[in-house]
Parts: sequence; C-alpha cells; structure tokens
Amino acid sequence: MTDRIVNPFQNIDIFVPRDHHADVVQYSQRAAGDAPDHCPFRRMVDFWFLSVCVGVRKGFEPVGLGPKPIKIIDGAILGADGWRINLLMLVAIGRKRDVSIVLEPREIIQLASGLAAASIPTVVDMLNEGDAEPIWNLSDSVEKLFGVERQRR
Amino acid sequence: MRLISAEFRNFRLLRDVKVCFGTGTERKLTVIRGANDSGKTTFLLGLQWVLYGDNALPNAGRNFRLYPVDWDVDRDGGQVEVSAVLEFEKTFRRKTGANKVSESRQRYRLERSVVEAVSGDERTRVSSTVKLLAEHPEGWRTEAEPVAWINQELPDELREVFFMDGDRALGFIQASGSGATSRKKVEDAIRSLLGLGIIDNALRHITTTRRAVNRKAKKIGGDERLEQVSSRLVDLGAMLDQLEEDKSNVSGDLRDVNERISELQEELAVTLQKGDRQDLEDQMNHTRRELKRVHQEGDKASMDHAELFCGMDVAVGLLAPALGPALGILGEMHSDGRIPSATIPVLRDRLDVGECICGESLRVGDKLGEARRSVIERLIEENQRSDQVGEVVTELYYWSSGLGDERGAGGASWTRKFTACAATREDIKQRREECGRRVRRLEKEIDGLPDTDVRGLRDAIRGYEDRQRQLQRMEGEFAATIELRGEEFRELERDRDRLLKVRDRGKKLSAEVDVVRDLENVLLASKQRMANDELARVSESMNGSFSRMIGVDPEQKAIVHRAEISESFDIVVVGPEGRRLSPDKDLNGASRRALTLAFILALAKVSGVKAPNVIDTPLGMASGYVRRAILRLAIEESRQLVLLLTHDEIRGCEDVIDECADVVVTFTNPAHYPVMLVNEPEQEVGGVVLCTCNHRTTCQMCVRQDIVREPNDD
Repeated sequence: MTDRIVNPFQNIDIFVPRDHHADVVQYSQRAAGDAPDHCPFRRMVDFWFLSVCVGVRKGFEPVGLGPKPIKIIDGAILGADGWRINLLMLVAIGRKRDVSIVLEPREIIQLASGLAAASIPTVVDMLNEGDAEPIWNLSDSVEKLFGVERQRR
Repeated sequence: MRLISAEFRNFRLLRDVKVCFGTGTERKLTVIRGANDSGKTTFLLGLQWVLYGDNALPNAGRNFRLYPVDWDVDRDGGQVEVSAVLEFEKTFRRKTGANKVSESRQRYRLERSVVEAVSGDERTRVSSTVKLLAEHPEGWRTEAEPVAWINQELPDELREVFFMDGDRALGFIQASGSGATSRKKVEDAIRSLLGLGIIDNALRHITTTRRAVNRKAKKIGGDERLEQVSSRLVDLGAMLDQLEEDKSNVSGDLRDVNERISELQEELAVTLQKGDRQDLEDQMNHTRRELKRVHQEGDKASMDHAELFCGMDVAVGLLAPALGPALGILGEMHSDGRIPSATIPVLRDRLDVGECICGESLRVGDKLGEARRSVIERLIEENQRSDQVGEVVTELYYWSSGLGDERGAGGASWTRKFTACAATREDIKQRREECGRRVRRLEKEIDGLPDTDVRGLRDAIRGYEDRQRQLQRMEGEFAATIELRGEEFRELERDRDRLLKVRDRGKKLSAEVDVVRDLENVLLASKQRMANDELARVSESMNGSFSRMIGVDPEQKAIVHRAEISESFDIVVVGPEGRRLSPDKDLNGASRRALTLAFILALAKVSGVKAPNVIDTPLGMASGYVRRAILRLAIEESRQLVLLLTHDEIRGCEDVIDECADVVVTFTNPAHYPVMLVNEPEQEVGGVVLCTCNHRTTCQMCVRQDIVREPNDD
C-alpha cells in the first residue's frame, strides 16, 4: 500500500475543545520517561485520531469545538502516516455522499475534529473503565468494540 | 578410675548443675538426656576442663568464654567465679599372697576454679587453680602435684579417646587434604596408649650416649687414622643432631600447618553448610542482571502495546462498518469508467498529435482544425476540477482496494496482535515476579549468613597447602640426608671400632660402644614389636566391634568385609575382593560413626587404661539395628559408660537403657520455652536445669512440644 505523496492537510491546524485538552495531554507521552501503561498514546495526534475512529464506530455526530479550542498540532503530522489522510477522506465521502469533498481538506478536518470532540469523553471512559492500568482498560474496551470478550487480568 | 559425680557452677550453660554417675559394675551405663543446645556438649567440655584445664578448651581457651552468655553484669556483678568439682574413685589391687589379691578403693575430689572479669564485651581470665583431695578417715587431704597425678592416670593425649564428641571423633577417619591429619591423630592416640613415647625417649637418650662415647674416643687420640675417624664421627654426630633438630622443627611446623588446614576446612565446611556467600552474591548479581533484562523487555513490550493504538489496524478495524458507503461510491465510479479519469490526458494527447481520434484534423493553421482545437481546449478547462477529484478518488480507490480482508474481518488483525502482545507481557510479568522472588530469597539467605569470607578461607587453605607441600618436601629431604649421613656415620663407627680394637686402651671404650649399640637394638626391636603386635591387637579388636555394630556378613554380599589399621596408621575399610574403601567417602554416616566408636573402644581395651568412657551424641546418623548394636557394644566394652543422648538417639533403644542404665537424668534449657518446651520455666535466671526424668518419663519442667505431639512415643 503506497503512501501519499501530497498531504492536503499540510497547512491546517488540528484543534481539540479546551475542556478536553487536559485529558488528551494526560494520556499522551510528553517525555521519554512516561510509562506507556499510563499514557498509551505516543503523541496527542494519536489520541485525536483514535477518538475520530471511535466516534465513527459509535455513530456519533460531530460537535463543535466550543470557545477557544486548543491547537494540539498542525496537519503536517498526518503526512507521516499517509493512511490516516486516506481514511479521513473515505470517512468524509461516506458522510457527505459526495466525492468532491476530497478537494475540501479544511472541511474534512473540521468533520474529523467534530467527531473527535464528540468522542474524547468516551475514549477517556474507555481508558478508565476497569481496575487495571489505562492501557489494559483501553485494550479491553477496544476488544469489546470489536465484539471480543475475554477473561483477563 | 570411676566417676562418682561432677558439679559445675557458672560454666557456660551450666550455672548450677550436679550430676551423680552410675557406679554399678553390672549396670554401668549413665544416660544424660537432652535436646540440642541443652548443655550436653558443654558438660563433656566441662569434664575435660576440670581434668586438663584450659588446654582442653577450643583453641586452648584463647578467646573462649567460660561464664554464662546471659550473665547480667548489673545484676550478678562483673566478677564471675567459674568452678567445677569432679569426684571419682580409683581401685588399688595388691597381691597379698599366692593367688590372693586385696582390693581397696580410694576416693578423690578434683576442684578447678577461675575468676573471669566481665566488662562490656571485654573479659579477662587468669589461669585456673586446681586442687586434688584424697579422702581419708580423718577427712579430705590435699595431694601434691595434681596435674602430674592426672597426667599419669589419664594422659592428655588420651583426652579425645575417653571424652569423645561423636562429631569431632570422626576426625580419626575423615581425611582432610592429604589425609595426614587423620593419620596423625590415629598415630598419636596409639602411641600414647601403647607407651611408645617412653621408648622413643629412651632411644633419644641412647643416641646422646653414643655421641658422648664418640667424643671420648676422639679424646683418647692415638694413631692418625683413628684421630681422623673420631673427628669425622664427632662432626657427623653434630651434623646429625642438627639435622634431627631441623627435621623435628619442620615436622612440628608441618603438624601445625596440618592442624590449621584441618581447622580452616572445618570452618569452611560449617560456613558452606550455611551457604557460600560468594556463590550467593554471584547468583544475586546474575539474577539482578536478568531482572534488568526482563525490565527492558517489559518496557519494549509496553511500548509495542501502546503502538497498537497508533497503527492502521485499530483505525481500519474501528472504521470498517462506516467505510462501506464511501467504498461503494468509489466502486460505482470505477464500474462506470469515471475513474480512473483519462479524458484530459487523451484530449491533450490528441491536440499534441494534431488529429482527433475520429480522424479529423486538429492542426494549427487549418481553419477547421483550429476551430476544433478551441472546442477541445474549452472542454479541458471545464473538466479540470472534476478531474482533480477523479485523480484523488482514483488514488483512494486503488489504496482502499488494498484494505481487503482487514476491513472485512473487523479488527481481527488488531485483536491477533493484541493477543500476542498480552501473552508476551504476561510472560514478562511472570518472569519479573520470579526474578523478584529470587532476589528476595537470596537477600534473605545472604543476610542470614555469618560474616565469613569464604574466598578468603579458600585462599588461606591454598596458602597453607602450599606451605604443607613445601614442608613435606623439606621433611623428606631431611630424612634422606639423615639416612645418608647416618649410613656414613655407622660405616665410620665400624671403622673406628676396628681401629679401637687394635689398640688395647681402646678396648674398654669399644665395650661401652657395644653396650650402647646392643641397648639401642633391644629398644628398637621392642618398639617394633610393640608397634606391630599391639597395633594388630587394636586393629583386630576394632574390626570385631565394627563388624558386630554394622552386622557385617560377607556371605551376603556386604559392601564392607572388614576394617583394619595399616602400618602407616590409616584406618582402612576393605570391601569385596580385598578392595580398599575410603572410610569418609564410601561409608554411610552410621557406619562412619560405628567405625570411630569401634576404634576408640579398641584403643581403650588394648591399652589396659582403666577409665570411664564419656561419649556425646554417639548414635547420631545411626538408626534401627546399627543404633542398638553400637549402644550394646559400647556398654559391653566399657568399664563405666556415660552417654549424652538426644531424645531422637534414645528412640528405639529404650529397652537397652532399661536393662543397662544405673542412672538416667534429663538436661533442659529453659530458653527453649515457648518454641520447644510446653511449660513456662519457674526459674528466673537462665542456665540448664536438671531433673531426674528418665528416658521414658517427662515432668512439668522437661516436657517438650514434640513429645506432646507424639503421644505414642513411649
């Protein structure tokens, strides 16, 4: 699967609602020493993108980012994982039922950020549901979303 | 000699203990029952101390405390008076006529005491004083020279024979290093018992006399040849004296080194029994390195786990149901031929060629052609935007077709990776816990070790062994030189004798020389006979007892056929087809114990020394038939037998003790409450207490937890 050469989101910033920013920071590794078991996301964009996916999976509608949203990073980061650009476009096409959306990167990011904003609290719940460390709680929750139930820990 | 009673005050565990021994001739056994750490070995040591003083203590009493370890200086004072009293009797027989012997008994009382000054961890002790009293109708009368008296009756060299610690006595058969130590112990014991030392002294005296005769011969002077021979003999005699002295010094050093090696090996063995610190520390370092590795693996596994939430698998798995509509649209566009979009490139290609795909002209300069070109260029401009969409969508279409199975399986790939990751992490977790447990166990073991430097001990032993080899070589060299010079000396003596005989005035001297030589020959022959004959008797007696103790029956394919003492004073065991077995390697613990006892009893029997046998834990390691046989043999072969036995050693031998014991008492250490003793002791001050409970009974004071738990013990 080849990667994209052009990143349409190159100059578009990615925001999260101010109210959720602390959660995004808490569960992302800020320094080399942060334990992955407690901060399962390597970067904030990883938290953001998983939130988009969870939002889509759960059928959430995008919500507004509220007053003074906080920028976590610019869209250039998405160029490092071209598959994310493609998946965001496919999500947008599916939602709009119009392929021309692919030429509207800001609209796509807005849609994705709205979905992320809607599902960040759910992802935070997934991290905390259970009596193990956040990484194991999140793993169990993701398995449940996939329909897998198992007895562990 | 027959023991009557022993009384101790402030002698280590024995704060105030008096034991009366059985003195019957039929029932000659006394049993002192006591659990481990109840004062049995202290009692044995105390008996030796009262007889031999500090020489009987470990390390000749240096740095060895006598007063009770729980002595309270504030309560009891800083001066501890340690004392012991031993009462015994000696039978004298006097011939009063033909076939008539009168027997009389004399009772003695040996008192030894010393004061130890205690201050904090410091203590000082002067030499003990000893007093021997003999009982007379008018009362006790002091005897002169008590030390010499005791040494005459029971020489110090025989101490370990008549006062035997079952464990230490194994040294007679257990080889350490070259085996020289056990051989030396056996030799010393036999020499002391058979009085070979007296003959050696006489031989030394004869040698001195020979030297004197030689000097006289030189003074006589005379012809030149006699002068030369006599001078040479004097020089050689002096040289031989020096060589003998040097050899004796080397032998002394060698004995010290052997002793030291033996002590260090014992210390090492005791330490290693508790654990080898170096080995444990190596294990600890190894485990810590492993733990560090496991931690690193754990960190990596945890990062790999986190990576699962950043990858495409989780995203595609979660988005799979929602991607359907978008992928449907793309599929439809592909079916309709709208993607991939090739319109604009084809039109541009036609403009470049100058001819339409229908064959009409598109050339510049051609009026119709230029009109057609402008239509096509407008068409290109109008499709520009939709073509950009097409380009992106085409790329999306082909990329998404690569998702294939993953999308359909709905997170199967992620689940598979997560399952593997969880298994790895669980494995790492268990390894980490195991390593942690190992580290804690090792820490505990290391903390519990005495602060003994095992490597240092081994180095010291190696150092002493080097010195041992060096001394053995020197001893051999001295022996060879003495032999060589001795031969020369004897040759010269013959020469000198011949010359003396030629001269009248040398005749008297020659006669002296003959007498000296004859005496020497007589003594040497006697020594040889005693050594050979008596050694054979000890060997035979030992073999008889040993065979009965372990039930040797060569007809029934027994491993051990007989035991004997070799001419070089080694105790050896012979197996089938005359094969020589190593007592300390090829015999089990019970047989080793039996062999040691058989040797000691044989020595006592052959020597004719009439003394009691006091034996501490003689039955350890033995059980069943062998235990009972050892006990019966020891009773049979002894004039008076005092056994210090644990409850376990008594088990299975109760009927033998019923039959043979005159006195049975029990030692109890109150410090064993509450772990081992059932009832709280009444006495406030520590120290062993004695009760008259025998091997079948217990009282409020001595009843033990394990006896309570085993009600059928009796």
